[in-house]
Amino acid sequence: MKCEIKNRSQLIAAYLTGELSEIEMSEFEQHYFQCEECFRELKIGREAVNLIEREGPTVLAASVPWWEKARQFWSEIFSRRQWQTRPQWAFAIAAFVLLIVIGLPLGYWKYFHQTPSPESYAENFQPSARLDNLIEQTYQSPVLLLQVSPPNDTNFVDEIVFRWELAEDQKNTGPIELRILNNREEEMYKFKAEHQTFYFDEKLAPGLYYWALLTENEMAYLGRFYIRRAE
Amino acid sequence: MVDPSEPAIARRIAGGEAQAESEFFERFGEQIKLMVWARLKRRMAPEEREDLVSEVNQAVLLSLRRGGYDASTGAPLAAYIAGIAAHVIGQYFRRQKKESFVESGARLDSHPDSENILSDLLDVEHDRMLRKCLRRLPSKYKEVLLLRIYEQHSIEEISQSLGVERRRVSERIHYAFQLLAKECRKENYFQY
Repeated sequence: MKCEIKNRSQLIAAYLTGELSEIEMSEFEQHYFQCEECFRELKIGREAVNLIEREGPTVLAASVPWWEKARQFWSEIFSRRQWQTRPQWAFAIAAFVLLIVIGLPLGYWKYFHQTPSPESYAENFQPSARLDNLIEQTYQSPVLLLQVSPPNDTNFVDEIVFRWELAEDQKNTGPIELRILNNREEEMYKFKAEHQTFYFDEKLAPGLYYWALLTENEMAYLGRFYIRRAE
Repeated sequence: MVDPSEPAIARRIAGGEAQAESEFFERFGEQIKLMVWARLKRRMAPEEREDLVSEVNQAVLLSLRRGGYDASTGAPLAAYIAGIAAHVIGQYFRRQKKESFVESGARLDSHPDSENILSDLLDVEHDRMLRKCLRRLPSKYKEVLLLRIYEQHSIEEISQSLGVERRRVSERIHYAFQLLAKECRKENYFQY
């Protein structure tokens, strides 16, 4: 049944906000007990009134875009009382965040991508006289090893595969240790090699390197190789 | 005008038919709740309001069981219920004034809210839609709703603070509710 009241919305609003007299209220109540149309609008109005009473301006605020929410979040954080009384905390946190934001990418870039100066680059290729002497001695004595790869002075860019074949009488000597040293005789890596092949895929800066195979008692082999910059 | 189905329900209740009582509350239960809310919303806590709704339901039902509704007078059943409800609410106020509230004994739990998952989901969906529609209202309507409902200012006070005529304030409030209903219809509020 269609509602025939002309000032319906006016009556509904007045009823919800308590503007009707007792008589008007009773009359309207008798009406909406039968009128589905008015009753539906009243229900919407009642829920709206409940929401506004409970939440006030928040429920009516237009939806806020994400950047505005972020701005409000930060302004709320920095307007807190403890920042005002102890500003050194705010500065310490800001400095820490800045350090992380700038420091991490910079550190990564410096470690992996920094181009060395020509002098330091050349220094990385200077041979170590002491290690070169040792190479002479071990290389000339194939008592322990029958075959070794890579041959000395091979150039690599990334992955290196080290191979060796122990002499028959050396096969029970236990695991072999593989060490990689730079040209300043500093140990860069150390591995236990269970088999006679070792895949090395760690990143090394361009330069001259030495690699050594050690049994339990002695150095079985010492060789050298170059890491070149990728073209 | 009397709905032809109403005297029948009243007769069946008077005849002691339990099914008719359920049908009755299905038809009028929500209206009774709304009426209690509208008359008391700021004067009592929600849980007390529920108690009063039960009291009204009980009073209406007892009267119908005794055959108190006479369709031959031409008065619709709705008017009869609204009359009883108004009377019970009035009694409640008188009791409060005297500060001698007496527990009314066992109350009928005749039409409890359906506490099931579906009803909860519908409530959540209605709440979401309503919030959306409220946010869409133009700011001049939001302003008067806030002042009248949240700040509890009178029409006169709003008129003075906004510098507009009293009549204009009332119109804005009416139009705000009208717009809200329109927006809710667009959102198919009642299809859920």
